[in-house]
Amino acid sequence: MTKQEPQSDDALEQCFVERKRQHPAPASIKRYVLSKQQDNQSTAYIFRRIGYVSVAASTLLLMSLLLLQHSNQDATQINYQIVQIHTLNIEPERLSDSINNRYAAHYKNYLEQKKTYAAHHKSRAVLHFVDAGWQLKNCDNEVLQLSNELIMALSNIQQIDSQIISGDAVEITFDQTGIILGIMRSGNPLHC
Amino acid sequence: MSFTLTLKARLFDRKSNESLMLRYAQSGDRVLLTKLYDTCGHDLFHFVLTLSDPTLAKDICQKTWLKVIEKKHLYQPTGQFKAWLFTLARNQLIDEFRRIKPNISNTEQLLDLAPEIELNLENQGVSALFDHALMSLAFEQREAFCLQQEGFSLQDIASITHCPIETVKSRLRYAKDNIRKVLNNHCGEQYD
Repeated sequence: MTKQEPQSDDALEQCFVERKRQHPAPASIKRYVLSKQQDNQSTAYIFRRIGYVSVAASTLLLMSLLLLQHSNQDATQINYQIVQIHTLNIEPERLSDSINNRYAAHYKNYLEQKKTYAAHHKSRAVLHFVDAGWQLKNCDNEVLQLSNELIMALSNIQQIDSQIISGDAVEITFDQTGIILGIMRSGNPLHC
Repeated sequence: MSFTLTLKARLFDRKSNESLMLRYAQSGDRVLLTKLYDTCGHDLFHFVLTLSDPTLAKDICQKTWLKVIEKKHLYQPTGQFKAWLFTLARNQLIDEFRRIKPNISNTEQLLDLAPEIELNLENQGVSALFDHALMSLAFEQREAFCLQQEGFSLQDIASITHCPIETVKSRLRYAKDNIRKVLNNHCGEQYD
């Protein structure tokens, strides 16, 4: 830089200031900017009001929800009381259970009785008629003497074949206690 | 004495652009914006006008002040308000140039967008010559020169124009040399 440059810079600065003076900013820019500022302020005011209203509405809504929840809790309490009353009505339910139990007991008895009559096992033997009455002889040479009462009882319940004759092979049906429940003629001869 | 100085400093601080802008950002007060416009509006318009044309300068200035209104909450009180304002305006201007000519990638290509001035330099006053010399500069030199004349430091100019300080110095030197050449050719050696 030379010593003259500061003076030169001053001269340039003066020229620049003079140029600025000759080119002022149009007044319309200021008017436009300030009008926009006014609009912006109005908009901001409206938004601020909307904000306040929103906060108030939200608070109101929150309070309403809290109140509603509180009232619902009361309603739940009433329901709870109804539930307590409902527990008094458990009696029919118990009766029902009792009926079911009784039914189950009866059914069990029925099954047991039925089981009593059900054949437990079968055995094969040959029927012989002797003086003393009917005899059944199995392959183990065991002889079973049939009483007349038993034959009569089996005939009554049709559990003895009326067509059997002496020497026929028969199937003897026993229950679990060993009682003869039926004597039926076997189609196959007994081979010991 | 110190009380007087403190009071003066406080009063001065309250009237500074930065203080006005801070208060405006908080309150949105129209009066504060008016004061800011009165302080910087003319300088801004002249700066943009030097880099473009009157129509575009008016448009850019309006947009820039609208940004100040809308983005006032983004203002950081770390730097000068005027530097922030000029940065906004420059960015708007560059965006506008890019919109007009989308293939522009940097400011060096903006030279041909400057308004063509055809002056009869004979019998012209210094102001017209200075105007011619200024508008003959490359965009970046013109920009740097204007910013310096507006009172910005090298650091501020570098920050506004997004380039290193050394580059700013170089541009300023070329700008002043070129203006001096034009003025000296027509007015003698007083600008050396």
